[in-house]
Amino acid sequence: MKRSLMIGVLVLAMMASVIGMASAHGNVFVGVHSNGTGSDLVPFVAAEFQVSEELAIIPRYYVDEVYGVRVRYGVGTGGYGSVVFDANGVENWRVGAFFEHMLSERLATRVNIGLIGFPDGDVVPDADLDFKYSLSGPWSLKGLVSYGIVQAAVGFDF
Amino acid sequence: MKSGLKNTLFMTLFVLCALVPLAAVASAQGYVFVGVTSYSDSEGLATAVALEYEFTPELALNVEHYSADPIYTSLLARYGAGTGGYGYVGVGTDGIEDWGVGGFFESRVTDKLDARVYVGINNIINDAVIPEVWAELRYDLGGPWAIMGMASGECGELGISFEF
Repeated sequence: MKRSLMIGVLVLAMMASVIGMASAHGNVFVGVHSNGTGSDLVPFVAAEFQVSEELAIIPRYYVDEVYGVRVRYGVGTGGYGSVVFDANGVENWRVGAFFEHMLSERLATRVNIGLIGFPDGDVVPDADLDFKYSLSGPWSLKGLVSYGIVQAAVGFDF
Repeated sequence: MKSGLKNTLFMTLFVLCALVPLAAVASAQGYVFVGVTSYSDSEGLATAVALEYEFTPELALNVEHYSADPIYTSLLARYGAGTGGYGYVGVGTDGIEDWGVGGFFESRVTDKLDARVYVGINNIINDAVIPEVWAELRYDLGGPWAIMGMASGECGELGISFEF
């Protein structure tokens, strides 16, 4: 039952992405994830489908067999929700609000503030920061920083 | 004679160093904050009390004390207006517990809601250096009052502030 539910959610997320792709724009990005000094770098690949002006769907896959999908709604400010799965099922979920801020013509940031929940029932505050530094053409450098987490990636806009 | 001159020089420098902050306090702006904080690794809420002085439009010092068990006090210095850098040390019952450095930027989310986002690294003494992010939110209630909140991957905080 639990497994079917997980697969169902994943299939729905994938379908929404595929349907959206026909008219969507967005970007794909490839990078590495780290939990700080002394931890391994984990490569990951992700895509961001901007299904409409407000709605974005972001599936993500880490090579250590962790999957995630995030949904974001809003322009400039809005809300988000995400869920991450590993081999044992749901690893964590997040909900919250975000706001965007341009630091320079090329450097855009998005601040996500909310809650993160774990399977054991713990729910604690959460904050992370997305960076996007636009390079020439469709290329960009992307990053994410959170408490104990840093990610860096190269993105390609489509 | 040389020793006496040296002592006088040191004393003068010491007095100057003490006078500069005191003089600055007279024209400082800042706020006092009282609220509650919740750590992910402790149960329940702890009270938090903070005082921030803006000595100049760029330079601010912030002292915050948490009554969590064990108690913890942080001293943070921030330099810059709009964007800039910060550094802090956290002191507990056994001395310095952690430190952090990084950059920050400020953003006006709405007419009443301001945010300041800190991005940097944190080191708990004898532990790994890890990245960190936290966001401070300030909702203007009118007059000197504001609701202030903070969220990071480790803790959240909510309270009320009085600006002077």
